[in-house]
Amino acid sequence: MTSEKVVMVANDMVTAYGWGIEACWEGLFSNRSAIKPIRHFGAETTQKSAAGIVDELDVKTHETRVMAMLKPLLQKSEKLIPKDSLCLLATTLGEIEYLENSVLNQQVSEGESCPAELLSKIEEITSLQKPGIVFSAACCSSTIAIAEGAAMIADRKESSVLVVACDSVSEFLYAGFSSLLVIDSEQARPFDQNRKGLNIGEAAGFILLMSEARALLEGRKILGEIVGWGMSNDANHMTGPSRNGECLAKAILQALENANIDRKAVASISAHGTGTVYNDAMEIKAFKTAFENQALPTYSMKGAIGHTMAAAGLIEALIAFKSLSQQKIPSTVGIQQVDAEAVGWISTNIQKASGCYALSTNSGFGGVNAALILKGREA
Amino acid sequence: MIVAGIGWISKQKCGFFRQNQQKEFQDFKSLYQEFENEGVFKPSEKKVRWLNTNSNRHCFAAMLALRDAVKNVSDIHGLSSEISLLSASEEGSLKANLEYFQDYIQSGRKLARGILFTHTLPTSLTAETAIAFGFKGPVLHLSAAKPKLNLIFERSESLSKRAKNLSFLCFAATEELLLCFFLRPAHSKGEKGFCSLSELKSQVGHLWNLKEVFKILKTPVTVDYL
Repeated sequence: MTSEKVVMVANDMVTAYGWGIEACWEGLFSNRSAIKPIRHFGAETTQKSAAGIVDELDVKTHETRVMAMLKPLLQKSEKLIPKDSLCLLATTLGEIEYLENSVLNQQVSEGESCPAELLSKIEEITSLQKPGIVFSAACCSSTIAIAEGAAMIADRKESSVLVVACDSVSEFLYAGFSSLLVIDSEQARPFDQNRKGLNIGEAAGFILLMSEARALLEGRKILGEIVGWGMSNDANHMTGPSRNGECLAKAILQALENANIDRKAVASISAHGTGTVYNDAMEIKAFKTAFENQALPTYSMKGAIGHTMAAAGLIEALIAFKSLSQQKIPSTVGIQQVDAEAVGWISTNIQKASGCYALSTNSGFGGVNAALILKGREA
Repeated sequence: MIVAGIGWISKQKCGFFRQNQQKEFQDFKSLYQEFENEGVFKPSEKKVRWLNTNSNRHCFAAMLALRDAVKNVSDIHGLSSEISLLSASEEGSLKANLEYFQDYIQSGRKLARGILFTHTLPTSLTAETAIAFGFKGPVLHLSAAKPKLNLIFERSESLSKRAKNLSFLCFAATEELLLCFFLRPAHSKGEKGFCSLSELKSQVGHLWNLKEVFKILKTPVTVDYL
């Protein structure tokens, strides 16, 4: 039995650049970083700190930044989302502010912070009928949720899957990354020779996936196609990637095989590119292995909007789709001098794209790796 | 897919189903020593030494599930790179999140402890198990408002469709009991298993109460596949 084609029929997002894909796209092409000082919490740890913050979020009493990002996005598109869709939620921390508040002032129960609670709220906002699933795989969470949503449709288990991704900048998260000494106090510079670490960021977004047959039947506009995916694990260290990139390369090769395309058909790579010394070095090695040293235009968005944790994969996939439809490749915001190992790969200027496939990769704590092959539709 | 072995571990007892064995244990060190001389597939002692109680539970549950399936690591060719670890729970990493954040606040809100922070991901426990054993298949944690075992069984089936040689360690955890199911592709001739994954799904896939699952699985039926 052949697989169903998996297409994207609706999407939206909010990042530190503002609401919508256009805002993020224009921000990236302005080469201006949206990293700014953190003001919504004030622990001593965070002095002189910066992150990818969504400005002027309307956080209602007893609600959280995650909900303030997600609710407007989902309410705006509620009519586009079929009620029989299965919701896959990708988040690392859910509404972690509830847990912070339970510890700091005992006003709420810490259980409110559980991602499954957030999933129930999303199902209520969108009036979805099926019980959804929370996907957690560190910073690969939304990449894997997209991959598994696509697999459910390809295997005819579902015909419509809503993938929702979100994480917010919180004291919980900031203090944790600070303790690991991986935060750059200024703007992160992924793949730069003098990179010092990452900026954390917040974002939320969704992708509505459908079988092509259903999308055509419902007269939906097809915005792109998920054609391949692969996953692996380094089994190396909880916070450090493998040095040789072998397992990320394996995930990329699986994705290419699954997509049934030649590696030469890939037009660009949206890298994880956190800005940490070891992550970026590992990724370039993986790309060189997977593409047999044939350099491809490669960019990272994390110097622009920060590392948005579980949301990163979904946000980056949406920008990769936009890049395919516009046939333009963004530059790596923040880069000054490309690392010697990455010369020839890293996009330092806006480039013209040629081809209809893009690779988007993510890696995360515990050694998780995931890769998606996306097929665009020209605008 | 066949269910090649099932390991379980509670606060003071552990065992495996297919071979219908169980024993009491005092601590993880003594448990480790008991298995040391059996030629059992076991994680790297150097890596296990640093694990906390919960990670140790996961590591030993994995070892017991593998032990239920095979006696020696050499019995499974190329096993280590082709095992994926999937887990499910009701609350994700809620307890670890609380422990980390309370510690940070009690320490004066200046510097958090990295070791506690790394456990705030729901995948930490399976990721540490993967590192201890060297398993390089995908690591993923699933949760839901009303979880059931099929969450992990169905993802295993889905992943195995696109990676034919992939085996799975599926963990279902509550505070009292941890079950670990070792699932393998059913393509080896003469492969014996506890039952097929389809049978397991129909028997216990809809459940989450692990004590109930335990009772249902307690009478082992060993089946020859192919």
